[in-house]
Parts: sequence; C-alpha cells; structure tokens
Amino acid sequence: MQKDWLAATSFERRHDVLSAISTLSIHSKLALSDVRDPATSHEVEEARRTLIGFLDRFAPLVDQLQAEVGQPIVGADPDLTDLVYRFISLWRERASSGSIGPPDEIAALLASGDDADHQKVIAWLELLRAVTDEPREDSMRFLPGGSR
Amino acid sequence: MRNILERRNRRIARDANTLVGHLQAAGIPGSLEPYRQQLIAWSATIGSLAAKNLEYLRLGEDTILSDVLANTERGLRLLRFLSADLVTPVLRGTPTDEVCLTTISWLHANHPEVRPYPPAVSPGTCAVWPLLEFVPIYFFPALEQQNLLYQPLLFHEFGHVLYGVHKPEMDDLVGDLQRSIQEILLPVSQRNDLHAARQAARRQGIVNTWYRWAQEIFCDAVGFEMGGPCFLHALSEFVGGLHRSDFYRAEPELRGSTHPVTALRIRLLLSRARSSGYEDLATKVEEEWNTLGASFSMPEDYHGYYIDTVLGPLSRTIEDMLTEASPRRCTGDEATGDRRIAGEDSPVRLFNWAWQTYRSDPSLYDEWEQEFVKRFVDGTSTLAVTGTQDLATQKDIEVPSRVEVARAE
Repeated sequence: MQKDWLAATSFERRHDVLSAISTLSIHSKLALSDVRDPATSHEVEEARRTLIGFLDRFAPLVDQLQAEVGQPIVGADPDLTDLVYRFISLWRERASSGSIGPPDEIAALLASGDDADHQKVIAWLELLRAVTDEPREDSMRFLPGGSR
Repeated sequence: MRNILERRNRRIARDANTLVGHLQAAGIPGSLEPYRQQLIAWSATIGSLAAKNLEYLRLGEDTILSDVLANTERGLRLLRFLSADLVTPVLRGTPTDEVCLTTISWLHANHPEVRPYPPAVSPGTCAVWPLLEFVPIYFFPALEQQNLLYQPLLFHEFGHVLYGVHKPEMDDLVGDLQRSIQEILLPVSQRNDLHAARQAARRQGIVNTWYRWAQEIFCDAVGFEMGGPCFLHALSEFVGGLHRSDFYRAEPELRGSTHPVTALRIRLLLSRARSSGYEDLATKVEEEWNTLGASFSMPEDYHGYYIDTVLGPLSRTIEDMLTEASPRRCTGDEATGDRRIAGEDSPVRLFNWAWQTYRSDPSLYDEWEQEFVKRFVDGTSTLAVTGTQDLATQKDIEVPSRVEVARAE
C-alpha cells in the first residue's frame, strides 16, 4: 500500500478544490435558472474562499511558467506542477474559442460574488474541474491506497 | 441518471451513518479520543454531503446533474478513504499502538501550531500523511511500534507535518534551492541542438526531483535536532546500509525518486552531528557505513543529482527551514540519556538512554526495555532511579561525548 505523503496531500487538495467547484457551479446554474439554491450563503462563501485560496497559490506558478519559458517550475510539488501544465494547455484551447478570458479572470469573477457573470463562472469552473479531476485510470494513483 | 444518483447517495448516507456507529462503539485509549471525534465529524460530513445531493436532485434541474455526479463520486471516494485507511487506528487499534501514540502526543503537545491535531498511528512502513484539512495519521511498522529504539524515526515523520503547517514559506525556500541547483547545473556555454535539449530536460528532471529530496533532508534534520544521537542511531540502523542501493542507484532510479540515496542522507546527518559537537558519535557511525559501503565497492556517484557545490545552498536552505519550523531541540542533558524520571522529563532522554543501553550490551537490553516501555506508556509512575543502581546491572554505558558548539544566530 502506498504511504506517500505527497500522494496523500495531493488527494486532500484536489478534494477541497473539487468540492468548491461543484458548490459554485451548482450555485451559478441555479441562479441562471432562477431556482433557489439549497446551499447556504455560508457554504457558497466558503467554497469561494477555498477556490480563491487555491488560485492564490496556483496563479503565481502559471505566471512563472509563462514568464520563464522553457524553465522548470520551482517551489511547487510535482502534483501542483502537473496541474499548472494541464491548466495552461486547456486554457489555451478554450480561450481561443472566446468562452473564457485571461488566466486572472477567474479570481476577479469569484471576488465579485453573486454579481459575477454566471455563464463565465460556469465556463471557468468546468475548466478547473477538467484540470483537477484526473482521469479515472489515474485517480487510483492519488488515492493513498495506490494503484491496485 | 437521476435514479442512479439517488440510490448511490442514499447508500452513502447509510454507510456514513453505520461508520459513525462503529466508531462510537470502539474501545480505545484516551489519547485516541480526539482522533475518533475527528473521524466521526468527517463521517457526518459525508452523510450531509449525500443529503445535500438528494436535495439537489429533488429540484429536478438537469443542468446540475453533472455537478451532483461529481459530488457523489467525491463523497464515495472520501468514504472509501476513511473506511480503508483512516479508521484503522480506532477500529483495529491494539495496545501496542500506545508507545507510538505516547510519542506522537508528546510531539504535538510541544509544538503550538500542531497542538490542534490529534495523535493517531496505524501499522505500515514508516510514514505520515500530513492531512491538515482532514486529520494527520502516522504509520509505523508493527514490530518496531513495540520498542523504544526506533521511536525517534517519528521525529522525521513529524518533520513532514511541520513542513505542511509552514508550507508556503517552506515551498518558497525549496524553490530558491531549486533555482540555485539549476544555476549550478547550467553549462557555461549552451548549444542549440538536440543534445542541448536533452540536457535541458535532464536538468529539469534533477531540479524537479529536488523538491522531494529537500523535504526529506529537512525531515532528517528535524529528527536530529529533536532527538540528537538517538535519531542518528535509529535512522542509521533502520535504513540499513546492507544493500548496494543504499550507496548507489542508477540514474533512471534517481529521476523523480522520493528519497535521496541513503548514504547521502547519512553523510549529511553526520555533518550535522559534527557541527553540533558529536565528533566521536559521527566518527563511529561513519566507520560503520564506510565498512558496509566498502563491501559493495560502489562508486559515490549521484549522476549530477548531488555534487559538492550543492552543499552550500542546501545547508543554508535547511537551516532556514529549521528556523521557520522551529522544532523543539534536544538539550545536552537529553542527549546524555542515562536516566529518566517519568512525568518530569522528555521522551528524548529515554530514547537516548535506550540506545546507550542497547549499544552497551544488546543481551541485557530486552529486559531493560520491557520495563521502561511500560513506564513510558504509563507515564505516571516515578522511576526509582539512582543511576548507579541501574548501571550496576549493566556494563559501562557509553554516553556520547559532546563539545558545545556555539550556534550561529
């Protein structure tokens, strides 16, 4: 059984982020449908705080990668580094279609709370989910039980 | 899809409730109670998540089905995680867990930023999951859990928890080290061809690997700063040095590896021991490793992952990380071991005494340890220690000599 501290902390981080993504995605979709969200305002704010906290750590690494082309990312664990590379790749795909703006747009959207453009929030959350929700065959690698 | 998600969430809610019942019914030592409460809280959270999913489903909104699916998967994954791994200390605990629990309780109690996290241990290879959002859990081999000699290894694992608590600062320091290593590895002139691209990729692999290596070397340093001689002995004997891979690994095995080559870890620890004034101790351990290393005739070659010019930046980084984490340092008295008065002294002195006793005469050690494990876990009885009386039954116990070395401020 894999007892790797890095796999365990990566699992914990992805769990927090995915939880926040789901809460906020549901909130925005229900808002667009004019349906009352059963989640409390505290739960929604907590999800925003979680995601903003993650982006506070994540965004400088994205900047580092874009500023120091060809240089390895430093000061970040391998899992977070993988997320950064995957983010850049997916962002380029979706930004070219115009559905999302520059990388710093999501932080601004989250900070504006319920005044945000819900369609844009949903598009960004779908991207973040695609980044952090690894494919099924890889997910066992991040379960502390390891691959079986 | 809606029916499937309803059924799955009802099952998750039921299982989470069942888990709460099992946790509440388990008989456990008092020191494990805070951990049990954390697990019960998490089980209840999973139940609440399932209930929330059922509420979402009742809205009849198809646009959110993909999110409820994601939530359901997350709840199930978390439940499996609890069931497979985290509940073991409570549902499968044994009395032999108490030695490690006592050590971990002491570690957490003596570091304010870690005090909120309850102690917990499960059988397994020496490790820790520093899960600061869930609850940290340590792992320790079943045999070694029951003795005192290898308890200092928990100081290394505790280093991972300290790293986690100070993560942003620690990551910044490690990032600076990675940049230094990158600069050291850069060639004076760079070509613009396939060879240069391969070399650049190789350098990237080395720099990336150092993220994990730096944390392991930091944890070794924490272990020594907290335990003194007993940590060096415990690590040296536990990691072995009895296989050639302790001295040399081929380059493909180094890339992305979780730990530096063992001989390198020992070398760095010996340097730390010497700079702390333990010249004789370091020399003895070094002699043992040199003897073992000579039998394998392996070259000291780290394939560019470690060269002498890395030592300067590495040492500075580790000292900065120790300053940030501020682990409780072993005192001169604790390092001498010799005797311990329960309730008035730290486990560090006892662990140093254990190693002195063991190295003095292993044949007498088991009986000695049996008595002192009991007293260590008990914690309330006062040792009737005269020093002379205990020593009379043993051969001369060699206490590590130490020359006080002024620490740079």
